[in-house]
Amino acid sequence: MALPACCLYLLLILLVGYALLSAVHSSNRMTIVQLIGLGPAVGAGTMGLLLFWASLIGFAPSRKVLAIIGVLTLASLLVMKKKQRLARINILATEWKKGDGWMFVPLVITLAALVMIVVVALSSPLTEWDAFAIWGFKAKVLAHEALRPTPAYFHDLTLSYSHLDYPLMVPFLTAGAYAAMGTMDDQTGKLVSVFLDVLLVPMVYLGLRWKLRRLPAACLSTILAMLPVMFRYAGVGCADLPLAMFYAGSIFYVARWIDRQQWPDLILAILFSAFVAFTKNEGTVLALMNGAVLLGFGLWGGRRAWVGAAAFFAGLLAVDAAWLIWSRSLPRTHEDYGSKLLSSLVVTHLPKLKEIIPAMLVQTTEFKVWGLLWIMAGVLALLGWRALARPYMLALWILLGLHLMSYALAYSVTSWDLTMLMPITMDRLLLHTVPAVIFLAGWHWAEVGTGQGITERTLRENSM
Amino acid sequence: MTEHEQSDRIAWQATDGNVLLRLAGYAKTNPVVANSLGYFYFQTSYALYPRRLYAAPADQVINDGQDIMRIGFSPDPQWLQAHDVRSVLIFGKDNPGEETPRLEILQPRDGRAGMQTNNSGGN
Repeated sequence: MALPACCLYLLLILLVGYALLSAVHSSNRMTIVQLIGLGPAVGAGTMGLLLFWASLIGFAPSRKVLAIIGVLTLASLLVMKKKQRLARINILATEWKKGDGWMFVPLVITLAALVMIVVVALSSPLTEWDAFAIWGFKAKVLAHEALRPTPAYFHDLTLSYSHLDYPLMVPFLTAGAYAAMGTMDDQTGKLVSVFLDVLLVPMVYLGLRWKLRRLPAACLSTILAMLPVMFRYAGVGCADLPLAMFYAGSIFYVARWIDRQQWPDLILAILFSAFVAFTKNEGTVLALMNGAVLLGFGLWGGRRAWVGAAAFFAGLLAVDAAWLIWSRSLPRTHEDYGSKLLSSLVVTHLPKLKEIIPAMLVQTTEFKVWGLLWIMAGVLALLGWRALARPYMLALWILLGLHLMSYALAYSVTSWDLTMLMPITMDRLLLHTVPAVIFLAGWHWAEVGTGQGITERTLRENSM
Repeated sequence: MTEHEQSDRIAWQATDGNVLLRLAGYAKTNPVVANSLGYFYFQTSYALYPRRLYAAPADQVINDGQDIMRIGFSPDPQWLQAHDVRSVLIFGKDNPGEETPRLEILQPRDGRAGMQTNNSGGN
Protein backbone atom coordinates (compact mmCIF):
# COMPACT_ATOMS: atom_id res chain seq x y z
CA MET A 1 0.00 0.00 0.00
CA ALA A 2 2.91 2.34 0.75
CA LEU A 3 4.40 2.15 -2.73
CA PRO A 4 1.19 3.01 -4.65
CA ALA A 5 0.59 5.92 -2.24
CA CYS A 6 4.12 7.15 -2.85
CA CYS A 7 3.59 6.87 -6.62
CA LEU A 8 0.35 8.87 -6.32
CA TYR A 9 2.29 11.53 -4.48
CA LEU A 10 4.82 11.68 -7.33
CA LEU A 11 1.92 11.99 -9.77
CA LEU A 12 0.64 14.94 -7.75
CA ILE A 13 4.11 16.51 -8.00
CA LEU A 14 4.01 16.06 -11.76
CA LEU A 15 0.53 17.63 -11.94
CA VAL A 16 1.67 20.63 -9.88
CA GLY A 17 4.61 21.09 -12.25
CA TYR A 18 2.44 20.75 -15.34
CA ALA A 19 -0.02 23.33 -13.99
CA LEU A 20 2.76 25.76 -13.13
CA LEU A 21 4.48 25.37 -16.51
CA SER A 22 1.18 25.89 -18.29
CA ALA A 23 0.68 29.07 -16.28
CA VAL A 24 4.21 30.35 -16.82
CA HIS A 25 4.66 29.57 -20.47
CA SER A 26 2.84 31.18 -23.30
CA SER A 27 3.67 28.73 -26.09
CA ASN A 28 1.06 26.21 -24.91
CA ARG A 29 3.23 23.36 -26.10
CA MET A 30 5.33 20.91 -24.18
CA THR A 31 7.44 18.00 -25.35
CA ILE A 32 7.37 14.62 -23.69
CA VAL A 33 10.83 15.28 -22.19
CA GLN A 34 9.62 18.55 -20.77
CA LEU A 35 6.62 16.73 -19.30
CA ILE A 36 8.67 14.02 -17.61
CA GLY A 37 11.74 16.16 -16.79
CA LEU A 38 10.90 19.80 -16.40
CA GLY A 39 7.36 19.20 -15.11
CA PRO A 40 8.33 17.06 -12.10
CA ALA A 41 11.36 19.26 -11.40
CA VAL A 42 9.23 22.39 -11.16
CA GLY A 43 6.53 20.41 -9.39
CA ALA A 44 8.94 19.01 -6.79
CA GLY A 45 10.40 22.42 -6.00
CA THR A 46 6.95 23.93 -5.73
CA MET A 47 5.65 21.07 -3.60
CA GLY A 48 8.60 21.40 -1.21
CA LEU A 49 7.92 25.10 -0.78
CA LEU A 50 4.15 24.61 -0.42
CA LEU A 51 4.65 22.00 2.32
CA PHE A 52 7.09 24.35 4.04
CA TRP A 53 4.66 27.28 3.94
CA ALA A 54 1.79 25.07 5.17
CA SER A 55 3.98 23.84 8.01
CA LEU A 56 4.90 27.41 8.93
CA ILE A 57 1.25 28.23 9.48
CA GLY A 58 0.78 25.13 11.60
CA PHE A 59 -0.03 22.25 9.22
CA ALA A 60 2.50 19.43 9.08
CA PRO A 61 2.46 17.40 5.84
CA SER A 62 -0.62 15.19 5.91
CA ARG A 63 -3.02 13.53 3.48
CA LYS A 64 -5.41 16.44 4.08
CA VAL A 65 -2.76 19.00 3.07
CA LEU A 66 -1.85 16.92 0.00
CA ALA A 67 -5.53 16.58 -0.92
CA ILE A 68 -5.96 20.37 -0.71
CA ILE A 69 -2.92 20.88 -2.96
CA GLY A 70 -4.33 18.26 -5.34
CA VAL A 71 -7.77 19.90 -5.49
CA LEU A 72 -6.29 23.37 -6.04
CA THR A 73 -4.03 22.00 -8.78
CA LEU A 74 -6.90 20.26 -10.56
CA ALA A 75 -9.02 23.42 -10.27
CA SER A 76 -6.24 25.51 -11.84
CA LEU A 77 -5.83 22.95 -14.61
CA LEU A 78 -9.57 23.11 -15.34
CA VAL A 79 -9.53 26.91 -15.43
CA MET A 80 -6.52 26.90 -17.76
CA LYS A 81 -8.19 24.31 -19.98
CA LYS A 82 -11.25 26.56 -20.23
CA LYS A 83 -9.04 29.50 -21.15
CA GLN A 84 -7.09 27.28 -23.55
CA ARG A 85 -3.84 27.94 -21.75
CA LEU A 86 -3.16 24.31 -20.91
CA ALA A 87 0.09 23.12 -22.49
CA ARG A 88 -0.48 20.48 -25.13
CA ILE A 89 1.90 17.52 -25.16
CA ASN A 90 3.90 16.92 -28.33
CA ILE A 91 5.78 13.66 -28.53
CA LEU A 92 8.60 15.26 -30.53
CA ALA A 93 10.04 18.76 -30.32
CA THR A 94 11.24 18.68 -33.91
CA GLU A 95 10.95 16.43 -36.92
CA TRP A 96 12.71 13.09 -36.76
CA LYS A 97 15.90 13.53 -38.78
CA LYS A 98 18.36 11.25 -40.46
CA GLY A 99 20.55 9.59 -37.85
CA ASP A 100 18.08 10.16 -35.02
CA GLY A 101 17.19 6.48 -35.18
CA TRP A 102 20.47 5.77 -33.36
CA MET A 103 18.92 7.56 -30.40
CA PHE A 104 17.58 4.26 -29.16
CA VAL A 105 21.12 3.16 -28.19
CA PRO A 106 21.85 5.95 -25.69
CA LEU A 107 18.21 5.94 -24.65
CA VAL A 108 18.24 2.23 -23.74
CA ILE A 109 21.58 2.58 -21.92
CA THR A 110 20.32 5.62 -20.00
CA LEU A 111 17.07 3.93 -19.03
CA ALA A 112 18.95 0.80 -17.93
CA ALA A 113 21.29 2.91 -15.78
CA LEU A 114 18.43 4.83 -14.19
CA VAL A 115 16.38 1.69 -13.53
CA MET A 116 19.41 0.13 -11.88
CA ILE A 117 19.86 3.21 -9.68
CA VAL A 118 16.19 3.13 -8.64
CA VAL A 119 16.19 -0.62 -7.91
CA VAL A 120 19.37 -0.40 -5.82
CA ALA A 121 18.02 2.62 -3.96
CA LEU A 122 14.76 0.91 -3.05
CA SER A 123 16.47 -2.26 -1.89
CA SER A 124 17.72 -0.75 1.37
CA PRO A 125 16.72 1.86 3.94
CA LEU A 126 18.83 4.98 4.55
CA THR A 127 22.35 3.79 5.32
CA GLU A 128 24.48 6.69 4.16
CA TRP A 129 25.71 8.72 7.16
CA ASP A 130 24.42 12.11 5.91
CA ALA A 131 21.22 10.56 4.58
CA PHE A 132 19.87 9.43 7.94
CA ALA A 133 21.72 11.82 10.25
CA ILE A 134 20.73 14.97 8.34
CA TRP A 135 18.10 14.58 5.65
CA GLY A 136 16.21 11.55 6.94
CA PHE A 137 16.14 12.87 10.49
CA LYS A 138 14.72 16.22 9.38
CA ALA A 139 12.10 14.44 7.25
CA LYS A 140 10.93 12.51 10.33
CA VAL A 141 10.78 15.70 12.41
CA LEU A 142 8.85 17.58 9.72
CA ALA A 143 6.43 14.69 9.17
CA HIS A 144 5.83 14.55 12.90
CA GLU A 145 5.47 18.24 13.79
CA ALA A 146 4.54 21.49 12.08
CA LEU A 147 7.02 24.37 12.17
CA ARG A 148 4.64 26.40 14.31
CA PRO A 149 5.54 26.29 17.12
CA THR A 150 9.16 25.57 16.17
CA PRO A 151 9.91 21.93 17.04
CA ALA A 152 12.40 21.45 19.89
CA TYR A 153 14.64 19.62 17.41
CA PHE A 154 15.73 22.86 15.74
CA HIS A 155 17.25 24.22 18.95
CA ASP A 156 18.56 21.01 20.49
CA LEU A 157 22.34 21.29 20.29
CA THR A 158 22.82 17.61 21.06
CA LEU A 159 21.50 17.10 17.52
CA SER A 160 23.86 19.70 16.08
CA TYR A 161 25.53 16.97 14.00
CA SER A 162 22.37 16.93 11.86
CA HIS A 163 23.06 20.55 10.80
CA LEU A 164 20.07 22.25 12.37
CA ASP A 165 20.32 25.16 9.90
CA TYR A 166 20.23 23.17 6.66
CA PRO A 167 17.45 24.01 4.17
CA LEU A 168 14.40 21.80 4.12
CA MET A 169 13.46 21.07 0.49
CA VAL A 170 14.39 17.38 0.44
CA PRO A 171 13.15 16.71 4.01
CA PHE A 172 9.78 18.31 3.22
CA LEU A 173 9.40 16.33 0.00
CA THR A 174 10.20 13.14 1.92
CA ALA A 175 7.83 14.13 4.72
CA GLY A 176 5.17 14.59 2.04
CA ALA A 177 5.78 11.00 0.93
CA TYR A 178 5.48 9.80 4.53
CA ALA A 179 2.18 11.66 4.78
CA ALA A 180 0.92 10.11 1.55
CA MET A 181 1.98 6.63 2.68
CA GLY A 182 0.66 7.08 6.20
CA THR A 183 3.90 5.70 7.62
CA MET A 184 7.52 6.78 8.03
CA ASP A 185 8.86 3.96 5.87
CA ASP A 186 12.23 5.32 4.80
CA GLN A 187 12.93 2.49 2.37
CA THR A 188 9.84 3.22 0.25
CA GLY A 189 10.23 6.92 0.97
CA LYS A 190 13.56 6.79 -0.85
CA LEU A 191 11.51 6.67 -4.03
CA VAL A 192 11.13 10.44 -3.65
CA SER A 193 14.82 11.16 -3.27
CA VAL A 194 15.86 8.81 -6.07
CA PHE A 195 13.16 10.37 -8.25
CA LEU A 196 14.72 13.80 -7.63
CA ASP A 197 18.18 12.37 -8.32
CA VAL A 198 17.40 10.77 -11.67
CA LEU A 199 15.50 13.88 -12.82
CA LEU A 200 18.93 15.40 -13.35
CA VAL A 201 19.28 13.39 -16.56
CA PRO A 202 16.16 14.69 -18.41
CA MET A 203 16.88 18.19 -17.09
CA VAL A 204 20.36 18.07 -18.58
CA TYR A 205 19.00 16.59 -21.83
CA LEU A 206 16.56 19.48 -22.01
CA GLY A 207 19.37 21.99 -21.67
CA LEU A 208 21.51 20.22 -24.23
CA ARG A 209 18.67 20.03 -26.75
CA TRP A 210 18.55 23.81 -26.80
CA LYS A 211 21.69 23.77 -28.91
CA LEU A 212 22.26 20.18 -29.93
CA ARG A 213 20.50 17.66 -32.12
CA ARG A 214 18.84 14.66 -30.54
CA LEU A 215 21.65 12.16 -30.92
CA PRO A 216 24.57 14.17 -29.45
CA ALA A 217 22.29 15.47 -26.69
CA ALA A 218 21.24 11.92 -25.87
CA CYS A 219 24.86 10.70 -25.93
CA LEU A 220 25.96 13.37 -23.46
CA SER A 221 22.96 12.57 -21.24
CA THR A 222 23.96 8.92 -21.30
CA ILE A 223 27.48 9.85 -20.27
CA LEU A 224 25.94 11.66 -17.30
CA ALA A 225 23.70 8.72 -16.39
CA MET A 226 26.67 6.34 -16.56
CA LEU A 227 29.06 8.44 -14.48
CA PRO A 228 30.47 6.42 -11.59
CA VAL A 229 29.76 9.37 -9.31
CA MET A 230 26.06 9.16 -10.27
CA PHE A 231 25.95 5.52 -9.20
CA ARG A 232 27.74 6.46 -6.00
CA TYR A 233 25.35 9.21 -4.91
CA ALA A 234 22.03 8.65 -6.70
CA GLY A 235 19.47 7.05 -4.45
CA VAL A 236 21.38 7.33 -1.19
CA GLY A 237 18.93 9.90 0.19
CA CYS A 238 21.17 12.97 0.32
CA ALA A 239 20.46 16.38 -1.18
CA ASP A 240 23.44 16.70 -3.53
CA LEU A 241 21.80 15.39 -6.69
CA PRO A 242 18.52 17.25 -6.08
CA LEU A 243 20.67 20.38 -5.71
CA ALA A 244 22.44 19.61 -9.01
CA MET A 245 19.08 18.93 -10.66
CA PHE A 246 17.56 22.25 -9.59
CA TYR A 247 20.84 23.98 -10.39
CA ALA A 248 20.71 22.55 -13.92
CA GLY A 249 17.32 24.23 -14.39
CA SER A 250 18.53 27.50 -12.91
CA ILE A 251 21.62 27.92 -15.08
CA PHE A 252 19.84 26.73 -18.22
CA TYR A 253 17.16 29.38 -17.85
CA VAL A 254 19.67 32.03 -16.80
CA ALA A 255 21.58 31.31 -20.03
CA ARG A 256 18.38 31.40 -22.08
CA TRP A 257 17.29 34.67 -20.52
CA ILE A 258 20.67 36.19 -21.34
CA ASP A 259 20.35 34.89 -24.89
CA ARG A 260 16.70 35.61 -25.66
CA GLN A 261 15.30 37.76 -22.85
CA GLN A 262 11.91 36.10 -22.74
CA TRP A 263 9.97 36.42 -19.50
CA PRO A 264 9.07 32.71 -19.09
CA ASP A 265 12.80 31.93 -19.05
CA LEU A 266 13.35 34.49 -16.32
CA ILE A 267 10.46 33.14 -14.26
CA LEU A 268 11.87 29.63 -14.48
CA ALA A 269 15.36 30.93 -13.66
CA ILE A 270 13.92 32.56 -10.53
CA LEU A 271 11.96 29.47 -9.53
CA PHE A 272 14.86 27.07 -9.99
CA SER A 273 17.27 29.41 -8.21
CA ALA A 274 14.81 29.65 -5.31
CA PHE A 275 14.58 25.84 -5.21
CA VAL A 276 18.39 25.60 -5.20
CA ALA A 277 18.60 27.99 -2.23
CA PHE A 278 16.00 25.93 -0.34
CA THR A 279 17.83 22.64 -0.98
CA LYS A 280 21.30 23.20 0.52
CA ASN A 281 23.14 26.12 2.10
CA GLU A 282 25.54 26.33 -0.82
CA GLY A 283 22.44 26.73 -2.97
CA THR A 284 21.95 30.24 -1.57
CA VAL A 285 25.40 31.18 -2.82
CA LEU A 286 24.67 29.59 -6.21
CA ALA A 287 21.36 31.43 -6.51
CA LEU A 288 23.08 34.73 -5.69
CA MET A 289 25.76 33.97 -8.28
CA ASN A 290 23.02 33.43 -10.87
CA GLY A 291 21.66 36.85 -9.92
CA ALA A 292 25.10 38.48 -10.02
CA VAL A 293 25.72 37.13 -13.52
CA LEU A 294 22.28 38.30 -14.67
CA LEU A 295 23.06 41.70 -13.21
CA GLY A 296 26.48 41.82 -14.86
CA PHE A 297 25.04 41.00 -18.26
CA GLY A 298 22.05 43.22 -17.50
CA LEU A 299 24.29 46.25 -17.14
CA TRP A 300 25.56 45.56 -20.66
CA GLY A 301 22.34 44.45 -22.24
CA GLY A 302 19.94 47.36 -22.17
CA ARG A 303 16.87 48.18 -20.14
CA ARG A 304 15.04 44.86 -20.49
CA ALA A 305 18.08 42.91 -19.31
CA TRP A 306 18.62 45.28 -16.39
CA VAL A 307 14.97 45.09 -15.34
CA GLY A 308 15.21 41.31 -15.66
CA ALA A 309 18.13 41.19 -13.25
CA ALA A 310 16.26 43.35 -10.74
CA ALA A 311 13.17 41.16 -11.15
CA PHE A 312 15.35 38.09 -10.53
CA PHE A 313 16.52 39.35 -7.13
CA ALA A 314 13.03 40.50 -6.18
CA GLY A 315 11.51 37.16 -7.21
CA LEU A 316 14.19 35.12 -5.48
CA LEU A 317 13.74 37.08 -2.28
CA ALA A 318 9.96 36.79 -2.46
CA VAL A 319 9.97 33.00 -2.95
CA ASP A 320 12.61 32.29 -0.30
CA ALA A 321 11.72 35.09 2.14
CA ALA A 322 9.86 32.80 4.54
CA TRP A 323 12.83 30.42 4.72
CA LEU A 324 15.36 33.22 5.14
CA ILE A 325 13.38 34.80 7.97
CA TRP A 326 12.43 31.58 9.73
CA SER A 327 15.93 30.08 9.55
CA ARG A 328 17.67 33.22 10.84
CA SER A 329 17.41 32.13 14.48
CA LEU A 330 18.57 28.54 13.95
CA PRO A 331 21.79 27.62 15.76
CA ARG A 332 24.84 27.43 13.52
CA THR A 333 26.95 25.17 15.65
CA HIS A 334 28.30 22.87 12.96
CA GLU A 335 30.76 24.09 10.30
CA ASP A 336 28.87 27.32 9.44
CA TYR A 337 30.73 28.09 6.24
CA GLY A 338 28.48 31.09 5.64
CA SER A 339 29.88 33.10 8.55
CA LYS A 340 33.43 31.94 7.90
CA LEU A 341 33.29 32.99 4.25
CA LEU A 342 32.10 36.44 5.28
CA SER A 343 34.89 36.89 7.83
CA SER A 344 38.54 37.85 7.51
CA LEU A 345 39.37 34.12 7.62
CA VAL A 346 38.96 34.07 3.84
CA VAL A 347 41.90 36.43 3.42
CA THR A 348 44.15 34.83 6.02
CA HIS A 349 43.50 31.36 4.65
CA LEU A 350 44.09 32.24 1.00
CA PRO A 351 47.47 30.46 0.92
CA LYS A 352 45.61 27.18 1.45
CA LEU A 353 44.32 27.50 -2.11
CA LYS A 354 47.76 26.37 -3.24
CA GLU A 355 46.88 22.99 -1.80
CA ILE A 356 43.17 22.99 -2.67
CA ILE A 357 43.13 23.99 -6.34
CA PRO A 358 45.61 21.30 -7.47
CA ALA A 359 43.62 18.73 -5.50
CA MET A 360 40.44 19.83 -7.29
CA LEU A 361 42.17 19.59 -10.66
CA VAL A 362 43.46 16.12 -9.87
CA GLN A 363 39.97 15.09 -8.75
CA THR A 364 38.49 16.02 -12.15
CA THR A 365 40.82 13.54 -13.82
CA GLU A 366 39.84 10.63 -11.57
CA PHE A 367 38.53 8.16 -14.13
CA LYS A 368 36.85 5.99 -11.50
CA VAL A 369 34.73 8.96 -10.43
CA TRP A 370 34.19 11.07 -13.53
CA GLY A 371 35.07 8.86 -16.46
CA LEU A 372 36.36 11.27 -19.07
CA LEU A 373 33.69 13.92 -18.43
CA TRP A 374 35.92 16.85 -17.47
CA ILE A 375 38.55 16.01 -20.05
CA MET A 376 35.89 15.65 -22.74
CA ALA A 377 34.36 19.00 -21.75
CA GLY A 378 37.79 20.62 -22.01
CA VAL A 379 38.42 19.13 -25.45
CA LEU A 380 34.99 20.17 -26.73
CA ALA A 381 35.51 23.67 -25.34
CA LEU A 382 38.76 23.93 -27.28
CA LEU A 383 37.23 22.58 -30.48
CA GLY A 384 34.17 24.80 -30.19
CA TRP A 385 35.99 27.86 -28.87
CA ARG A 386 33.98 30.15 -31.14
CA ALA A 387 31.03 29.69 -28.80
CA LEU A 388 32.83 31.92 -26.30
CA ALA A 389 31.70 34.88 -28.36
CA ARG A 390 28.15 34.20 -27.27
CA PRO A 391 27.13 35.98 -24.07
CA TYR A 392 25.25 33.00 -22.65
CA MET A 393 28.38 30.85 -23.00
CA LEU A 394 30.48 33.46 -21.30
CA ALA A 395 27.86 33.61 -18.54
CA LEU A 396 28.02 29.84 -18.07
CA TRP A 397 31.82 29.87 -17.88
CA ILE A 398 31.65 32.65 -15.29
CA LEU A 399 29.07 30.69 -13.30
CA LEU A 400 31.24 27.57 -13.33
CA GLY A 401 34.30 29.59 -12.35
CA LEU A 402 32.47 31.27 -9.46
CA HIS A 403 31.03 27.92 -8.39
CA LEU A 404 34.44 26.25 -8.23
CA MET A 405 35.99 29.28 -6.56
CA SER A 406 33.32 29.33 -3.83
CA TYR A 407 33.98 25.65 -3.05
CA ALA A 408 37.73 26.20 -3.02
CA LEU A 409 37.24 29.08 -0.57
CA ALA A 410 34.91 26.95 1.56
CA TYR A 411 37.66 24.34 1.80
CA SER A 412 40.14 27.06 2.73
CA VAL A 413 38.17 28.12 5.83
CA THR A 414 37.11 24.68 7.01
CA SER A 415 38.01 23.63 10.52
CA TRP A 416 38.51 20.05 9.33
CA ASP A 417 41.85 18.60 8.36
CA LEU A 418 41.99 19.17 4.59
CA THR A 419 43.91 16.03 3.85
CA MET A 420 41.11 14.08 5.48
CA LEU A 421 38.16 16.19 4.28
CA MET A 422 38.94 16.66 0.60
CA PRO A 423 39.22 13.00 -0.42
CA ILE A 424 35.85 12.17 1.14
CA THR A 425 33.86 15.21 0.03
CA MET A 426 35.28 16.54 -3.21
CA ASP A 427 33.49 14.18 -5.60
CA ARG A 428 30.17 15.05 -3.91
CA LEU A 429 30.81 18.79 -4.15
CA LEU A 430 32.02 18.69 -7.74
CA LEU A 431 28.87 16.72 -8.56
CA HIS A 432 27.00 20.02 -8.08
CA THR A 433 28.94 21.51 -10.99
CA VAL A 434 28.17 18.67 -13.41
CA PRO A 435 25.20 20.42 -15.11
CA ALA A 436 27.38 23.41 -15.98
CA VAL A 437 30.19 21.16 -17.20
CA ILE A 438 27.87 19.11 -19.43
CA PHE A 439 26.08 22.19 -20.79
CA LEU A 440 29.45 23.72 -21.64
CA ALA A 441 30.51 20.50 -23.36
CA GLY A 442 27.28 20.30 -25.34
CA TRP A 443 26.96 23.96 -26.25
CA HIS A 444 30.59 24.10 -27.38
CA TRP A 445 29.99 20.91 -29.33
CA ALA A 446 27.17 22.68 -31.14
CA GLU A 447 29.78 25.10 -32.48
CA VAL A 448 32.16 22.36 -33.60
CA GLY A 449 29.85 21.17 -36.33
CA THR A 450 28.91 17.65 -35.29
CA GLY A 451 26.11 18.84 -33.16
CA GLN A 452 25.18 21.77 -35.32
CA GLY A 453 21.99 21.98 -37.22
CA ILE A 454 19.87 23.93 -34.81
CA THR A 455 18.04 26.31 -37.04
CA GLU A 456 15.93 29.25 -36.05
CA ARG A 457 12.90 27.06 -36.62
CA THR A 458 14.24 24.43 -34.23
CA LEU A 459 14.89 27.10 -31.66
CA ARG A 460 11.35 28.34 -32.02
CA GLU A 461 10.02 24.81 -31.69
CA ASN A 462 12.17 24.16 -28.64
CA SER A 463 10.83 27.33 -27.19
CA MET A 464 10.17 26.01 -23.68
CA MET B 1 23.50 -7.66 11.80
CA THR B 2 24.15 -4.31 10.13
CA GLU B 3 24.43 -1.11 12.15
CA HIS B 4 21.06 0.19 11.06
CA GLU B 5 19.41 -3.13 11.86
CA GLN B 6 21.00 -2.95 15.31
CA SER B 7 19.60 0.55 15.82
CA ASP B 8 16.18 -0.52 14.57
CA ARG B 9 16.22 -3.44 16.99
CA ILE B 10 17.11 -1.13 19.87
CA ALA B 11 14.30 1.24 18.89
CA TRP B 12 11.90 -1.70 18.85
CA GLN B 13 13.12 -3.04 22.21
CA ALA B 14 12.93 0.34 23.93
CA THR B 15 9.21 0.30 23.51
CA ASP B 16 8.33 3.25 25.72
CA GLY B 17 9.82 6.56 26.63
CA ASN B 18 13.25 7.99 25.94
CA VAL B 19 16.66 6.36 26.20
CA LEU B 20 19.87 7.44 27.91
CA LEU B 21 23.18 6.69 26.23
CA ARG B 22 25.80 5.64 28.75
CA LEU B 23 29.42 4.98 27.94
CA ALA B 24 31.19 2.13 29.64
CA GLY B 25 34.83 1.07 29.97
CA TYR B 26 37.07 1.95 27.04
CA ALA B 27 34.25 3.86 25.29
CA LYS B 28 34.58 6.63 27.88
CA THR B 29 38.05 7.63 26.83
CA ASN B 30 39.41 5.67 23.87
CA PRO B 31 39.40 8.00 20.81
CA VAL B 32 39.49 4.98 18.52
CA VAL B 33 35.81 4.31 19.16
CA ALA B 34 34.74 7.95 18.62
CA ASN B 35 33.79 7.36 15.01
CA SER B 36 31.70 4.27 15.63
CA LEU B 37 30.16 5.91 18.70
CA GLY B 38 29.14 8.91 16.59
CA TYR B 39 27.66 6.71 13.87
CA PHE B 40 25.82 4.66 16.46
CA TYR B 41 24.41 7.76 18.21
CA PHE B 42 23.24 9.33 14.93
CA GLN B 43 21.74 6.10 13.63
CA THR B 44 19.95 5.23 16.88
CA SER B 45 18.68 8.81 17.36
CA TYR B 46 17.20 8.55 13.86
CA ALA B 47 15.68 5.12 14.51
CA LEU B 48 14.17 6.18 17.84
CA TYR B 49 12.61 9.48 16.75
CA PRO B 50 10.20 10.91 17.97
CA ARG B 51 11.58 9.35 21.12
CA ARG B 52 15.01 10.62 22.14
CA LEU B 53 18.43 9.17 22.77
CA TYR B 54 19.99 11.44 25.36
CA ALA B 55 23.77 11.79 25.44
CA ALA B 56 23.97 15.33 26.85
CA PRO B 57 21.77 18.18 28.06
CA ALA B 58 20.12 20.07 25.18
CA ASP B 59 22.53 23.02 25.43
CA GLN B 60 25.64 20.89 24.80
CA VAL B 61 26.85 20.66 21.21
CA ILE B 62 27.29 17.18 19.80
CA ASN B 63 28.83 17.06 16.34
CA ASP B 64 30.67 13.77 16.65
CA GLY B 65 31.50 10.87 18.93
CA GLN B 66 34.34 12.80 20.61
CA ASP B 67 31.83 15.37 21.85
CA ILE B 68 29.83 12.59 23.51
CA MET B 69 32.98 11.29 25.20
CA ARG B 70 34.04 14.78 26.30
CA ILE B 71 30.65 15.56 27.84
CA GLY B 72 30.46 12.20 29.68
CA PHE B 73 26.82 12.74 30.54
CA SER B 74 25.65 11.29 33.83
CA PRO B 75 22.26 12.72 34.78
CA ASP B 76 20.64 12.25 38.16
CA PRO B 77 17.39 10.31 38.64
CA GLN B 78 15.34 13.52 38.73
CA TRP B 79 16.63 14.49 35.29
CA LEU B 80 15.84 11.02 33.95
CA GLN B 81 12.34 11.24 35.33
CA ALA B 82 11.78 14.74 34.00
CA HIS B 83 12.84 13.58 30.55
CA ASP B 84 10.83 10.37 30.61
CA VAL B 85 13.91 8.17 30.28
CA ARG B 86 12.86 4.54 30.61
CA SER B 87 15.88 2.68 29.36
CA VAL B 88 19.65 2.95 29.23
CA LEU B 89 21.70 2.06 26.21
CA ILE B 90 25.21 1.07 27.17
CA PHE B 91 27.99 1.54 24.65
CA GLY B 92 31.24 -0.13 25.63
CA LYS B 93 31.99 -2.77 28.23
CA ASP B 94 32.47 -2.49 32.00
CA ASN B 95 33.51 -6.13 32.12
CA PRO B 96 34.96 -8.51 29.55
CA GLY B 97 32.35 -10.66 27.82
CA GLU B 98 29.57 -8.11 28.08
CA GLU B 99 27.55 -7.36 24.98
CA THR B 100 27.88 -3.91 23.43
CA PRO B 101 25.75 -2.01 22.77
CA ARG B 102 23.13 -3.33 25.12
CA LEU B 103 19.82 -1.99 26.32
CA GLU B 104 18.69 -2.07 29.93
CA ILE B 105 15.12 -1.21 30.81
CA LEU B 106 14.83 0.96 33.91
CA GLN B 107 12.63 -0.31 36.70
CA PRO B 108 9.75 2.03 37.48
CA ARG B 109 9.84 3.34 41.05
CA ASP B 110 6.66 4.61 42.67
CA GLY B 111 4.90 4.01 39.37
CA ARG B 112 7.23 6.43 37.60
CA ALA B 113 9.87 5.82 35.00
CA GLY B 114 13.47 6.82 34.94
CA MET B 115 14.31 6.40 38.60
CA GLN B 116 16.25 3.22 39.05
CA THR B 117 18.21 0.78 36.98
CA ASN B 118 19.22 -2.81 37.44
CA ASN B 119 22.56 -1.94 36.05
CA SER B 120 25.36 -1.38 38.49
CA GLY B 121 28.13 1.12 38.00
CA GLY B 122 27.64 4.08 35.72
CA ASN B 123 29.79 6.98 34.71
